[in-house]
Parts: sequence; C-alpha cells; structure tokens
Amino acid sequence: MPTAIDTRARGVAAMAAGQVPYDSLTDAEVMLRVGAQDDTAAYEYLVQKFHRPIIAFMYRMTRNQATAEELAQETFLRVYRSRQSYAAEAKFSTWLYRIATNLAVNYARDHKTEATPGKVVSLDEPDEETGTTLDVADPTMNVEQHLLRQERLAAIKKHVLALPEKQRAAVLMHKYQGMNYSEIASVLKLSESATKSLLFRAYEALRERLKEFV
Amino acid sequence: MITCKNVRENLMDALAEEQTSPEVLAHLRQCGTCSAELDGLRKTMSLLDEWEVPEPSPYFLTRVKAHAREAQQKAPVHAGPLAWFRRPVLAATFAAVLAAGGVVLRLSVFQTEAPATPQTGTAVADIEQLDKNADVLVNTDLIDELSGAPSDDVAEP
Repeated sequence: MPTAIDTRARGVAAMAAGQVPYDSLTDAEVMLRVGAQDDTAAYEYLVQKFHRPIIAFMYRMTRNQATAEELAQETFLRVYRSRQSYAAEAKFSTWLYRIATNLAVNYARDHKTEATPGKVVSLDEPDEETGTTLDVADPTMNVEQHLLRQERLAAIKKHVLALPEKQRAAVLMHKYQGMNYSEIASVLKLSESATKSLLFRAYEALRERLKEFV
Repeated sequence: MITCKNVRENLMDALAEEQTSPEVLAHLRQCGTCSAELDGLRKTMSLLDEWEVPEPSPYFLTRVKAHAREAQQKAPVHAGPLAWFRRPVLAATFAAVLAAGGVVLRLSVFQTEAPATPQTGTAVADIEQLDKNADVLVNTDLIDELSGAPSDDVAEP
C-alpha cells in the first residue's frame, strides 16, 4: 500500500508533467491537485465520480431525497473548502465518507423523528421520500405482490433507520457502498474487530426485526 | 474445541466468505444453530438488496459546481500578498514574532538609555557643569598654543 509520502510525490510529479488524465491518478492524487493548483477540473472529476454513491448513502441515512442531495452538496463543498488541508493520509474515499457520515449523523441528531408505524401505501399519490409514484404496471407483479413488496420495503427502511447511528452508517457502507471492514473501520475511527462486532450486532438486530419477511 | 460463541464472533468473516478458519467452517457444517444463524444473516442481507435509491436530480452537479465557484471567489487560494495572513497558523506565528520582536526592542532600549542627568541648580549639577567648562577652557588653551598666543595657565616671566 503506498504511503502518504509516495502518494504526494507521485501527485507532485504528475502535476509537473502538465496535462494528466485524472483516470491515471489515484483519487488522493487528484485531490492534491485541487489543493495545490486550485484545479477546478480535478475537483469536478471527483464530484462526478462520487456524487451518486454519496447521494445514495445520504438518502439511506435520511430517507429523503431532497435532504440527501442537500447533505451531499454540503459534503462536496466541505471537500472543496478543505482542499488545502487534505493530507492524503487516508484514501480519498475514506476522507469523503468521514465528512459525509459526520454530516448525516449531525443531521439525524438535529431531526430526530419518532419511528412511525407501518403506513398505508397509496398507489396514486407520489412517495413523499422520492417524489415518484409507484409503478403498478410491472407485468411480473400483481397488485397484491406489489403491496407486499412495498410493505417489505417500508419495514426495511424503518428498521435500518431505527438502528443506532454508527451501526446504521456501518451497515450502509458495508451493504450498499461495497466497502470492506478495513475501510469502514477507517471512516468510523474504530478497530477492524470493533467494526465487525458493530456490524454483527446491527445485522443480528435486523435479522430479528425483519424475520417475518425472510 | 471451538464453541458456538467463538463461531458467532467470526460470523461476519463467514458472511464475507473471507479468511474463515477451517475450524469455524467445520463447526458450521455440524452445528444446526450456528448454520441457521448464518443462513438468517445471509437472507437478511439479500432482503436489504430490495432497497433501491432514486436517481439524483439532473441539476445536482451544476449546483455543486456553482457553489464551488462561489467558494473560490470568496476565498481565492492566491488572493494577493496578504492571502497567507488568513491562515490561522501563519497569523498566530506572525503575531508571536511581532510580540517577541517588541519585547527584544524594549529590552534593548532599556539597556542603551542614557543615565538620568541631575537637575540644574543642585550641587552635583553645578560641579558637572564646571567640569565641562574646565574641559572647554583647556581645549581653548590648546588652540591658543597652536596659534602662538600666550597661554593663561603659564605665568609670563
């Protein structure tokens, strides 16, 4: 694994070489360009690359698309504002998810909502979280199957949201962001074994609460 | 002998199918409770696959770029000769250097200050004044000698 000094040296060498395709650099090297040269194109490359996973992460943390986009926007803005203090001591994605997790957890603390019991699913009104209407024209599903699926989905969202903040963030990073134990441990500033234990407790809780759907 | 408790601690590795020890795998093959728990966890994780996310707004990237440009204009990286002063560490260092310089300057002024002169009209001041006059008179005598005029100190024969 390259050290922070190797990464910085390669980033500086790449800068000296002039026009470098960002794909040929690590994300950390691209971020160093943003800080050292105020390279707006490099910043936009990183936003383009990470905006979907960060919005998805925020959506599952907050269950609201508009809020998710606002928090994702704030995450990228903080990345830009911190461009000169970025030290490449960790992977860029680890740093990015650390900023995102802090924002999401702070948001959750400020907007703590009571867990709502299973609500009635309307097929006509748009979903309040996503703004989309349900697609009942799926030829592989009848209305009953569709309603069951909606009920399952509502239960998944409700029980994931009900997890303690750290467990929720760990599950989302592990399950949906495809991050390994070591990466999640870096983001949450935990040991790898503590992260495995945290994830185990979270999945155990979900297994218990979602057993009727399994 | 590996116990169910040991296996439960390693179920996350078994779930990820990575670095699972042969003892744990052997236990999972034999123990119905542990294998059922692992199976339940796998099914729970599969169930979570159903939760999909909506597409981001098409204006998201535009908004982020606009905010970044705004941030750049508010605090450009190389904004004139005093841009560095906005950095807290540098500003604090600058302030510390200024303070240290002030202290050194003050000390040096103390050391080089002339001793206080006594007020005129006192005995000490009068004696000092006379000494100065005497020096002046001696110097005058020297000038007179150089120009060939008789000195007041030497009695004429």
